Amino acid sequence: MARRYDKTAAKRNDDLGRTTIFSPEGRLYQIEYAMEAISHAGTVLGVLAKDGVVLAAEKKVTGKLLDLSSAKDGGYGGSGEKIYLLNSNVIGGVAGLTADANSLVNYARSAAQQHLLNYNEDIPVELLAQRLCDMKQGYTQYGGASYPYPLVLYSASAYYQLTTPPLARTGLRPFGVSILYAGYDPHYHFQLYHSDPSGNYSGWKATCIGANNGTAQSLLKQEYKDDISVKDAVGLVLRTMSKTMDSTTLGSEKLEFAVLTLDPTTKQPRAKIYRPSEIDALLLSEGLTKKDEDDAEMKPAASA
Amino acid sequence: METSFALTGKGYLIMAADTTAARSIVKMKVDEDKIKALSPHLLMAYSGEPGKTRDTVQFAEYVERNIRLYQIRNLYPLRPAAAASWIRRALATSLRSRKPYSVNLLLGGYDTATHDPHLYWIDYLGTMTEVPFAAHGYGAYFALSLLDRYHDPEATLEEGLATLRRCLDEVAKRLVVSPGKYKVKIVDKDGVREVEL
Repeated sequence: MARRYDKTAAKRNDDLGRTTIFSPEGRLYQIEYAMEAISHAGTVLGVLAKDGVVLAAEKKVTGKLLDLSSAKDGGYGGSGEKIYLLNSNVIGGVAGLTADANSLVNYARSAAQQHLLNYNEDIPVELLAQRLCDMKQGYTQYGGASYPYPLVLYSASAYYQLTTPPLARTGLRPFGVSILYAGYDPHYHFQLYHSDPSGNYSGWKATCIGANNGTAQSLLKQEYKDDISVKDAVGLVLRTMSKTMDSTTLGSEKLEFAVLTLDPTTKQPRAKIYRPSEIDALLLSEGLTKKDEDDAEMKPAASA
Repeated sequence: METSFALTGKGYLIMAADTTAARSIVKMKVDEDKIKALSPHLLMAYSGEPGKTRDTVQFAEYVERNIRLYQIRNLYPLRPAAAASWIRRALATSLRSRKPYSVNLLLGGYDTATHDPHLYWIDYLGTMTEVPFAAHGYGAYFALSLLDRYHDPEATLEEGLATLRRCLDEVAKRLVVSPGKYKVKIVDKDGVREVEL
């Protein structure tokens, strides 16, 4: 019989700074716990349309006394809890530990800028997702973000870097964050990706992370149509959010919202993260305001 | 003397480079290929200062391998503009090193994302500019005025090749040390191919 799962050995490994070791069933508990943490976080929902991508997120940190004055104006929109601009062509929606997410957002922005510096183009969306996943995966294995090979070979004299082994790192736990990436690049046009703490990523037409993601995904599965327009996707996202969120009232104090489209004149991606006032105006125009929550909730959007 | 030309047309790019490898006043070789296909839709003509032939080959191979590495790692190849930016940076970094490469490049490709040809003129100082037609070497003194007069971005492939022919003929007629033979390559939506003029 195989060796029993030795808790003292696991403890010893933890003391040595190893993030994760396999259980006898072949599972990585730290990763599963991280995913569990995410399934309690605020919902983030994304829908890919033929002419854009829509993201919406449920804010958890709310309250009368919370100072939200910085979200009203200043910045680039959004209230900085769940939806971030990662690059001019990518919006990220995060679910999980906010502090971990901040660190990943920082990393993503740096990776995007590094690509811009080297290639003078916006980073392709899948590449950005890969960069973050490489780091996330590192924390499930050797506990660190050191890249096994250099991102860029600047000059011929940098060849030696190819043979430099990765630095030993000792992280303590994986990132407790799942991310939705809504982006555009000339290779595959609009895209929606999801990445989880294990470093897996996948592309989606519509998906959801965080609390009640199962419910939301089955709703999306029923309602999603191929070649849906952004306008319809906005309605679909808001309706799905209103059904899956804990509170029955949709409003800017509980919701973050963003849309990525192409600028009709310049044909460049245009990321719009809505401000609280704009979210309220949008909910009003979609007929999903607080007052008539009961009948608006279940009715499919009239515009569809 | 080393000479290279390139011009864009409707949905294609033509690149030509002489095939002589010389050392001092001696022709060592007359069938040297100085145009590398960096990816299925990307061509690079490289030439250098006289007597620094190894420099150009070394740098071209370095670029070739790195562009290939990017493609293997990231599933899709670099677009021409991105490749040009990366190469320019490699040259600019090299210029500021102890032993810089003195390589002049023409980088041309067909962008499969936007379906149009792009051409970049790059010199050993790390200067880069996007142009409709370009030339390096002594041939440039004769060809650029011809290209000013005859280049048409909407020209068909046959018209484009005829314009190139004019340039090569003029160089053959007027340049004291004119090269004898050229290699001509085309890149379009179907990829890279070589043609005989």
